[in-house]
Amino acid sequence: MHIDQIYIKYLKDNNSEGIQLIYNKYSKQIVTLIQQNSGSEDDGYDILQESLVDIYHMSIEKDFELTTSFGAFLGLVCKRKWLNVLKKNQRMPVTNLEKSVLYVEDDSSQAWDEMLETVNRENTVMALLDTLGESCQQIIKRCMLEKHQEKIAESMGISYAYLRKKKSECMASLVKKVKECGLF
Amino acid sequence: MEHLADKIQDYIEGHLEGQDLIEFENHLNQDIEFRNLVKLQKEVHGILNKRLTSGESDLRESLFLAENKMKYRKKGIFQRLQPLMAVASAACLLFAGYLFLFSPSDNLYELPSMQSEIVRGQESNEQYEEAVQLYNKQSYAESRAILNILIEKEPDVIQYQYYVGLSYLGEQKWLEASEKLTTIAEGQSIFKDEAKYYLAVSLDKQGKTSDAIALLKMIPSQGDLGKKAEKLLKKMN
Repeated sequence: MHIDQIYIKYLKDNNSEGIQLIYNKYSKQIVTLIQQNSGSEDDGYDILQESLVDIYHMSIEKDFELTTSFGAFLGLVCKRKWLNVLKKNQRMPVTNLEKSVLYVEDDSSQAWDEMLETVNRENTVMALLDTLGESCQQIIKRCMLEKHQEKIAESMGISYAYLRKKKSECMASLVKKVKECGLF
Repeated sequence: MEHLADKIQDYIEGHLEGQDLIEFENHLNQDIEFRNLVKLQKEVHGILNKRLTSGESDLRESLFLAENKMKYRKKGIFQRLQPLMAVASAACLLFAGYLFLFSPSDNLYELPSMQSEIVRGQESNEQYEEAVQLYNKQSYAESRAILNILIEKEPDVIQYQYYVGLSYLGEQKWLEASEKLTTIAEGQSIFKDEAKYYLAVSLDKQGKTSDAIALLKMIPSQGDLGKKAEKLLKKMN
C-alpha cells in the first residue's frame, strides 16, 4: 500500500483536518494547471472539488488502493475532468493537456480508467435526477433513504399505492433520460 | 409491454409476486428490448441507492470549508463577492436562455388527469379508481362525491383533497377551487407546487392576477411544472 493512502482515508472518513491538509498541499498545483489550460481560478477549485468527490466515491468501493502518489493520482483525475469540460464547451485547443493526460505513470491506469468511467456514469445519473420535477426528486430520494415507504406516503399526504405508482413513473422518466444521454 | 413497464420498479424491489411475477419473468425471457430496459433501470436504481446513501453532502461541506480557507485567505470582501456575482449573472443568463429555447407547449390551463393508484391489480382501492375514471371523463361532481367519502375515512390523505380542488376547477367553480387548493398550496405535501399552479389559474380567472403571479413565482424552476409556471407567468405579465 502506498504511503499516500492516508489521503484517501481522510476523504473516506470526512476528516476535516486531513481535508484541509489536502487543500493546503495540492490546491495550488491543480488551480495552476487549470489556469494554464484556459481555465480560471474558480474553474480550478471547482475541478478540484469535483475530483475529490469522485475519488471519495472510488474510495468507498472496498478494493480501492492507491498505487502511486496522491498528487499524481489527483492530477490525473483533475486533468481528465477538465478535458471533458473543455471538450463539452469547445473551449480553446487542448492538445497539450491531452498529451499529458495520456501519459501514465504506472500500470494501474487501466483500473483507474474503469473506476473513473463508473464514477462518470454515476455522476450523470445524479445530474439527471436533478433535472426531474421537485416531487419526483423528493419521492425518489426519500424512498431510497427511508425504509418504511408507508410512513413516507403518510408524511407526504398520499396513499401508499399512489406513492408506489408515482415512484414507478418517476423512475421511468429518469431511466428514459439516462437512455437518451447516450452514456449507458 | 406498457403495463409491464409500470411494474419494473416493483420487480426490482422484490414486490412482485404470484401471477404478476410469472407474467413479468416470462416477458423478460422473451423480449430482449424489455430485458435491456429492466437491466438499465436496475443499474440506475443501484447507482441512486449507492449515491444517495454515500454521505457525499457531508464531505462536500468539509471540502467547501477547506476551499474557502485556501481561496479567501488574502482576499478582501469585494474581491470575494465579485466572482460569485459573475457566476450568478451567468447562471441567470443561462436559465433565461434555457427557458426561452425549451419552454413546453402544454396547454397552460388544462387540468392534469387524475392518476390511478393501480400498480398491481389485487391491491387497487376500488372507490378511488372509480373516482379516477369519473374525473378523467370530466364527471367532476360524481368524482368529488366519492373523493369526499374517502376524505372522511382518511382525512390526512392530501391527494384526495387535491383532486377535489381540481374537480371544482374543472367545473369552473373558481371560488371553491381556490378555497380547497389554498390549504394544500400552503402545506408541505408533494402537491404543494401543483396546488400553487392551479390556484394561480383559479385566481387569474377571478381577476386576481397579481396574487396569481406571486404564487407562480414561488414554484421551483425545475421540471415540467417549473417550465409551465414560467410560461404562464410570461403570459400573465
